[in-house]
Amino acid sequence: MHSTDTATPKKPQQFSFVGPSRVHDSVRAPAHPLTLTCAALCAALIGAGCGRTSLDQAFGTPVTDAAVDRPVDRPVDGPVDHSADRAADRPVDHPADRAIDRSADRRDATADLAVDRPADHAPPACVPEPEICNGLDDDCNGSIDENLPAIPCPNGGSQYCVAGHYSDCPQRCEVCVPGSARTCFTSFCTYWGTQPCAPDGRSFGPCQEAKSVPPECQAVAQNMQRSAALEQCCLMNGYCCVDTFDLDNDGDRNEMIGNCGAVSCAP
Amino acid sequence: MRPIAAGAACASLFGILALAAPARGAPCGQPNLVDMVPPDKATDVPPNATLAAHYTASADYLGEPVVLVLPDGEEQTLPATFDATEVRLSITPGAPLAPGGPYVVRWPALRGLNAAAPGTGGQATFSVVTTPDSAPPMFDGVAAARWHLDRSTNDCTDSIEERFVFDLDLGAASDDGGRDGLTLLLFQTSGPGAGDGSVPVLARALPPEGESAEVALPAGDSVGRICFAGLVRDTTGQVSSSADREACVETTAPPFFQGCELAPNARPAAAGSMFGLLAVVLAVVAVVLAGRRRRGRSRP
Repeated sequence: MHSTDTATPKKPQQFSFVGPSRVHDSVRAPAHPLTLTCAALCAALIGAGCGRTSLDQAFGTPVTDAAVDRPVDRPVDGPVDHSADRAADRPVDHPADRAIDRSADRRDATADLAVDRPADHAPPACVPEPEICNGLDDDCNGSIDENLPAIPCPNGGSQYCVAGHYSDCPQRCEVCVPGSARTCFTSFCTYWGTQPCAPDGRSFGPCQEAKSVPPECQAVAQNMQRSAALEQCCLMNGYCCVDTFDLDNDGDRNEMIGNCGAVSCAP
Repeated sequence: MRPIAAGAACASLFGILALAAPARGAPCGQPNLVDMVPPDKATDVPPNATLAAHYTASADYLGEPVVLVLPDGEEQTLPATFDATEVRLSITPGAPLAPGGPYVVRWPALRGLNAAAPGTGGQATFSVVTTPDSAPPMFDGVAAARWHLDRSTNDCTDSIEERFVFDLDLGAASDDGGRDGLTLLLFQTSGPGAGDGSVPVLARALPPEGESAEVALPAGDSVGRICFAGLVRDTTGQVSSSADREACVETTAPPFFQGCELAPNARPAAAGSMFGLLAVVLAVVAVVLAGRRRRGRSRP
């Protein structure tokens, strides 16, 4: 089991640089004087607080001793013929190792495929099927989710195949109809306010105190102030009201209830 | 050492509070015409085109006449269809348009759901080609996404609204009915606003070639990994097969502070001490140099 964490090293590590002379992961590269010098420099820099990433950007991807000592399980695009003798040598796949010298692995893997893999192990051919909205090239024509029909929505607009799924039906606005306003309740002065919708219909503005309360609710506001009774009065008199006191008992105190046809985006 | 380091590093790499200056917003809910498909002065409109216009979200259609003026001057009032979800008014001529022109389509001023005064309408002059639109459009999809935070005045409330504005680079688009007749449909495919699926965020005339599309979303929908996909729709309703291509961007919630960061994944204490040490060394060098200059001046 290898516990080397290449992402967040806990102690200074030796960095070596994979050059074109490298033959195979399992073959230890000879220690080059330049490598040792750089390793010492890098260790000193890490000790001084230099980030790993900055070193990576400057010098290339680091390779740990453990990675040099043993072969790495190679992720390749096609199936690889893992012969028994090599499988015996191969340790369990380690996630940290996958990131190590991937380009070299691909190069080696390509050579391995050429030598080891018989022709009958080629990737399976694409079997054409009717195209459906799933993010795949079902009909094997090189295009994904093409020519799929739009699905009409009951209230207008259509659903389209987007990123492998049919989209939601469009709505006129996201939160509220631009130019509309709902009634809200302040905790001071008149206790009555309005909350206008933003011009893009994507949010409400702040609750602005009204200078006066509608006559039908003046007495309630004066006697009960900011209360469920005032919200009830708002509802009873045909306003679109913020459900501050959760009069419908659904747990949502930010919704609006009442006569909200001109405010709500819902059809 | 740590306070010195933090102070020196923060002083040398002063943070930027990336909040844009408040900008003037759009008029409060006015039901104005936004764009027309095909646009004014289009020259490649297919004879089987559906003509359309987009309005702002507050617009409501109450049967206002849409007038098509034929090349010979005859005016036809055509039955219009209003799609409230796209806020799109459209007409489809009963017979294919004769090639040539100029045709004129007059889009009415609509009233708002909450406004008594009508907004603005529009008029587009175009000419018709001989070839009908038959094939679906081609579109390379959304190529890249950038974002910034916009704080603009909400004219309805006189308050500041924060919006994450996404600039989306668009790939090449074409159609046998002409590029001018394409409508861009954008979807948010990832992020808080998208949920598990994809949500339509924009339906507008395709911007001119080389221009990006802009989508403004509230902060609640816009923080995290935000992805977009897009398709184009031609004047016959056929759409491109481009919505499998997504462009993503990582956003962060305000307030923004970009100081003190030295290197990605750097250990803060150690990195801070290194730069603190550097700042101290520079300060010592500066003092020494200043002292030498002073001594040099005091000599006769």
